[in-house]
Amino acid sequence: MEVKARINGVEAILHGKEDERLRDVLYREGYSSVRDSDDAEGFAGSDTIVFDGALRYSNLIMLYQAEGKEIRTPESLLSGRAINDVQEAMVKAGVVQSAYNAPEAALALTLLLERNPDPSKEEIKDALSGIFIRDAGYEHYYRAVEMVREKRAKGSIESEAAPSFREGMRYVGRPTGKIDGEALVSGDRLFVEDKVPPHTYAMHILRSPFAHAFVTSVDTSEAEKVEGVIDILTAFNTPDIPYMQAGQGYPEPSPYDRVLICRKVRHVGDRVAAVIAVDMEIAIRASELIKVVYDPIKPVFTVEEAMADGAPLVHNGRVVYESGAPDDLDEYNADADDREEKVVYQFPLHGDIRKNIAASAHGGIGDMEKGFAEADAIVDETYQTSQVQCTPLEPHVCYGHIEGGRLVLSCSTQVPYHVRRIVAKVCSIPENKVHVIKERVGGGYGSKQDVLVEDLVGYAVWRTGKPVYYRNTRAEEFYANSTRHPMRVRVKMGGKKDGTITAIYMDVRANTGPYGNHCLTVPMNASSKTLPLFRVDNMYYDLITYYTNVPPTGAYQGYGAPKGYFAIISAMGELAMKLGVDPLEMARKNAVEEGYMLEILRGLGEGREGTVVPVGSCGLKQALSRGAELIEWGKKAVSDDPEWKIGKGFAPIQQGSGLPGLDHSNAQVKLLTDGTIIVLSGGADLGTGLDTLSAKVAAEVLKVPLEIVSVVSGDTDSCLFDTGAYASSGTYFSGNASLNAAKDLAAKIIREAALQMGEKEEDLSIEYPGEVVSRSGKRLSYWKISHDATAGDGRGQLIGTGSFTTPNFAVPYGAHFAEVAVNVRTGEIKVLKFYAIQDAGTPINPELALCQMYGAAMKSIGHTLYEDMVLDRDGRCLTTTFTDYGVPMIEEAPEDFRAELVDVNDQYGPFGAKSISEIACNGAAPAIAMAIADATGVWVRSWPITGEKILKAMGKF
Amino acid sequence: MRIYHPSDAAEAVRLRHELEGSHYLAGGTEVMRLGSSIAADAPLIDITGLPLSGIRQEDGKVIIGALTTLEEIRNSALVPAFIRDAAAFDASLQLRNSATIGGNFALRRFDSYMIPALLASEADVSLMCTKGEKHKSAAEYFSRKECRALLLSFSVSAGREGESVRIARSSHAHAAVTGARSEGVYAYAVSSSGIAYGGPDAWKEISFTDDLTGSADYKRYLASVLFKG
Repeated sequence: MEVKARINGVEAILHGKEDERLRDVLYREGYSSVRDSDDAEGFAGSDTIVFDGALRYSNLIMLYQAEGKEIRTPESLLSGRAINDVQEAMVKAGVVQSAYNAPEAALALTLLLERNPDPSKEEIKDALSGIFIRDAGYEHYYRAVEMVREKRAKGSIESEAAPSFREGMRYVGRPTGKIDGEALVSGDRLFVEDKVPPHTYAMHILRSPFAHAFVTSVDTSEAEKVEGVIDILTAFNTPDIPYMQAGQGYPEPSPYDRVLICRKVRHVGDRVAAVIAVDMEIAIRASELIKVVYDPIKPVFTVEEAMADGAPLVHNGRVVYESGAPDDLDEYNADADDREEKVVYQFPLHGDIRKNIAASAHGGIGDMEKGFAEADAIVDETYQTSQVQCTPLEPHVCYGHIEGGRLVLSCSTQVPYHVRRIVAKVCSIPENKVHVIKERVGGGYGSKQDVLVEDLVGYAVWRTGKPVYYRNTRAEEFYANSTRHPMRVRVKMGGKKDGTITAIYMDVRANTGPYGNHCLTVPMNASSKTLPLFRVDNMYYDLITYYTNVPPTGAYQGYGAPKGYFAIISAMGELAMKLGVDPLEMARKNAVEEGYMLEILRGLGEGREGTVVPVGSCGLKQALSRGAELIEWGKKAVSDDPEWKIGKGFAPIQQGSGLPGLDHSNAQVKLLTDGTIIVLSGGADLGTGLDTLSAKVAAEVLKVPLEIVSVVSGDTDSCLFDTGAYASSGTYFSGNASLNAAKDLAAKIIREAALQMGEKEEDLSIEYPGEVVSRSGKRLSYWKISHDATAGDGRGQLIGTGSFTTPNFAVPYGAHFAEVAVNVRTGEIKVLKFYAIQDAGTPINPELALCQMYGAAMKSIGHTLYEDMVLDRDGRCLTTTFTDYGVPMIEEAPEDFRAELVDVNDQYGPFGAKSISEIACNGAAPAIAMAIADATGVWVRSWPITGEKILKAMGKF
Repeated sequence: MRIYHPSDAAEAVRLRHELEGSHYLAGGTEVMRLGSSIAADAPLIDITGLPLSGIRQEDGKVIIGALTTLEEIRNSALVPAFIRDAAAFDASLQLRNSATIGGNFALRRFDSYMIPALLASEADVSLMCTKGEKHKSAAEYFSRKECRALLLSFSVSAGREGESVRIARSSHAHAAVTGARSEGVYAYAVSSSGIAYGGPDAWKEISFTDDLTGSADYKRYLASVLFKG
């Protein structure tokens, strides 16, 4: 049907089916800022439009209902290519990050400010109440509205969204806004879905209804008869090539324990078949005709079930070691079940799949017996963390096609080079035949470190020769994606009456689910990112990861650290309470300081021997002091209502900046013929501002305006290798590579200028805005230098190249403080205050850094209090929508929420920078748990901490 | 999906009786949402063109049209405060701009935003049925498990005072328990369990069930202490 509506002030005709969702029609008709994050749940707000003057979800409106209506989409906010003042303020405030629904937030605020130029905080909150923001939190949206008011009053925005750091820098350490912020907030066609041409083929995945079963046969004959079906992939016609979906540096510390489609399904939602067809409707219809015969096996879901004697084995194939095979391997494999896929370890991870153990590690320092003997009190408690989901607004998605005989994949990924390697492997083609383009990423948070859809799309395209587009549904995001490993962490901690901790023991039992993605390193982080915070002589850890049949796990921002922190800091709080010691004093007394040798790291090397290093730049004690000051630590807060009890808690935290000794980054910086600059970075900007960081670093070194620096990143053809954006590596590794490349180019510019000017190199220097100056006063612009260098008699284009590897650690530290109120009648919980204080070295993008702290803290608050993946007794996920799963929205943001940066300069990071966002996931759970215990006397030792658990512990029912 | 566009309430009701498995389409937040309880191929009777929205005061009563959105209710100074509070329990502005009081009431969901407040307020409902327009109390409406009549409006006393309470893990999560009390009338809606109204102990009539919002014991406890004092 045709529908006439007035869209963005212009009469328009929309075409489609009468009952088609208006969102789908608008997107198809070119209003591409109107996206979909929730499959029409009516939750996330990526589909928000103004419909006859009211904010509505366009997914919940049928096409025919638009007849004669006035519709505004975010495209209406632009004047030509110019963004409006709300969008400008959002970029300046730092909230435009992965930005999948940033245009919708801009539309909501624009409408609010049109009707009410001076809205209250509550009114802003209401305007954003139906928009889920996962990356940057909500706090700086209030700041953005203040900036709009400022612009309307004064004509420009002079105030800054963050303080500046480092005198003498033009861009580094200063809030400049993201270089791609305007494009993102405008709703430009930047995401994978925007690259998909008409008539691209669809792929639908038939998934297992069983948590654990052999697939004995798959009959696709009826499905193949459906017109429009191109191919159907099953376990019986796809390669038997073991690989691993975890996007980690090769050789990975994760076992190759899967093939494209396995003959044994290991979780509800595991792949059984993939139908490629001319459209999704046909693909789904055909998949319903596939007849699958399963031979079900009893599943195991928990660590306890997996470790029980005689437990069903999730993997029982032959084990292969690429290196370091044990002498008794043949004997070990004697009882292997040849129906199952092989499990290939690149090197020993101390797994034992015949006991459902995927990996393990053990180690420590000192004398535990002596340490506990010296203690005046000991706590020995077990803490349980739940399976939680990254919930990026843009689900996992991939578009692939063949071009010039090569496989081209447009991806939303954190690891384009690992995608290339893994796809090449499953397709049995060399890497030069694969071109991976990292498009803008609409949220990753670790889940896009794993190659969860690109493997199958790449294979389908290579095999069929057809262009194929695949996108997870929101439900698939929950049961066929990666999640945080659920963990059971036992902590035994002993201490003296003076607050000295004498010994810490951690027993980490992780649940990796059906496949071993990150099975060693995530649990290892539970110890390797927590124990080095303590200046304790006696520490030991046992880490064991078990296979089970829950939905897959993998990387999630913070990795294993948030779980380790929940356990170890809760235990410290419990110990302090037992000893009658102030937990803050205990933390201060036992915290490491700069120069302290971290012997504990020797055994915590991600599968290799770890490196013992001294603590480097460390703002931990400053963070503890600042947080304590802000929250008025030691002063009891009392509510006017006796039913509301208020408590305070905190958590000292640390993380890392990439993986020294393992990560590797490269970059090039090119001087173009007009003297402008292009940075080619291997780093994968997830929306966090890594491209901006690269641009700033280049502009700072080369002394040019930021506006003349462009960045191309994450394109495996154009850019040099980078291990990827994970483990908080972006700033430290990719940033340092860009820095080294810019320095290399600066040296080459000087060298070329010396030749052109007839001067000695040592007499030349570069000056803003992009010229070489001699001591004698001669000047030569970059334009002139480049022009002559690339002339017919020139010496070639000037290109700087830089790589970065290091054995040195740049560890960020911090402390998070929470004030929480609990209603002891109803169990309601309110996070009244949350202060995130962190040392990020020199924050190169300070406003983006603050927003990432807010975003990460909100995720962590979500995991602590609300979010929970619930499975039924058969392993089916019951929480496949945002509502059922329970993500936090703006209403859940703490009323007084502050992020602050401690000014510390690091000796190894680019311009002294360290990582920022992963660490911010570590504090909320232990800080809130401690605050609740302070308020109610009840320690809740499992996620999520709910009113029900508190009331039950209080004996209310 | 076949969509019908009745010209008046009587025709809507006639269609609803004639078309097997049909449903009224009001705000669309149930019909169109992911996981809707309504079959994808159900005939829909679009009532959005009927003059059933708006809030007015007459003879000491506040009349709320069935197609009035939750956001309009939330913002109306005419509507008693505890009913406005109930409308605000729908935490999303986009949803409140779409969802209607009639739709929320007629769905009879056990985590309904509006039902406890309307029951506790002793609201009357105007209905169009096959025999013409009828008036009954909200409680009477609820005494029947299904009603194919079309809700036209709700009527509550203008000065009615009361309190609405909702206990959920977060603002957008399903409520474990929602309740309202007004001038001695209590109403409870308990997730996956049921709806009850009457005296302060009305919750005891509910058969409590475990679900994602919490255990039966937890919800029973909550219902028992929902109102302070």
